[in-house]
Amino acid sequence: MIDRQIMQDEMKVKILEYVEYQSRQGFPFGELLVIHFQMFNPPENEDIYKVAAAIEILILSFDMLDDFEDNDSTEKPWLPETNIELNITTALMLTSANVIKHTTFEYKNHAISILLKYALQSVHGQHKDLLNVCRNETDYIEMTIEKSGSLVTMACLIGVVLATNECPPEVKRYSKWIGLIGQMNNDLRDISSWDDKNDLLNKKYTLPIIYILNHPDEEIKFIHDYYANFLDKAEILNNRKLINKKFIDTGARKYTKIIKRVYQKKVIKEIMRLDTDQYYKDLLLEYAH
Amino acid sequence: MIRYLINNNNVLEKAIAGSVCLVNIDPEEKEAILEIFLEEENPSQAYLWK
Repeated sequence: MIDRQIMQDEMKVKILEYVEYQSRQGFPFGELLVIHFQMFNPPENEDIYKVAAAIEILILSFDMLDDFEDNDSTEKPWLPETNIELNITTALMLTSANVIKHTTFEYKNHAISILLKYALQSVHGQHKDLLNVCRNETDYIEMTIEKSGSLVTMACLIGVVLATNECPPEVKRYSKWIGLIGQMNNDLRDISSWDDKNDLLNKKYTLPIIYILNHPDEEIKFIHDYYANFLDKAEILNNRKLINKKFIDTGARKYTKIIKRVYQKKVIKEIMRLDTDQYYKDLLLEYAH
Repeated sequence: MIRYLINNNNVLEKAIAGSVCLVNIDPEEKEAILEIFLEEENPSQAYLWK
């Protein structure tokens, strides 16, 4: 696909390197797309794997842009020459829609409009995230559904649309929540790692951080001072152990796990409502962990 | 409600024991709270709720 779509040799080499790197974390969006296509029993069409690859290419471009925007691609192969890499993200985005356009699917135009709608929705969510303005539970969940949920919804709906030309409301609901659960897993992982990407060090507002900032515990008032730019990063790093303990003692970790479990339950309920084989339901449930 | 219950473990313990009934709470939220509470605080008793 890259060979056919990308004519510039240096760009092709770089993209293949990035795809190889991205493959280490698997291709969940492409997998979800294929599952959603197959579970509605359409006529067989090998082009579905091209579409799945096209969606993963789009996700790769979003991941690269996210790293540039957050300044956190320290170990990623696309760090060194941002100007060159930015041009590559443009090529990747255009390639994804172009690949779908050249497939043999009857409903490919509908699939392209789904791609554009939900990719743009994700960009809106990303913008809110970069502005760092979502500072309570409701705003945070809404922003995360927009940013991360939209991309999962895009993959799932493209699969269904190519098979049926329909957008089932239950698929729209559970797919956005799967994206939200994925982000909450990141948030939970982040509170126990203290690298440069740590959300608290970067004054980000994630679910456990929003909880702890609203907790009356006097011993953690210095975190408010850090967020208000009255304290240096070194002060936070010196108090790592205390902060780790407070994420547990105040219930911040438990709270995030509870909110995640609430959405897992919603996903399970919606998946069980689907009119499809248990085999596919079991496959989908794997994405709600 | 979730925040209140996290900070008032005694209420949760009574709810799990069945001596108080949680009201004004979404059933999915109630289940999630009790499940996570048991998994985190008292894993050996988690089966009681599930």
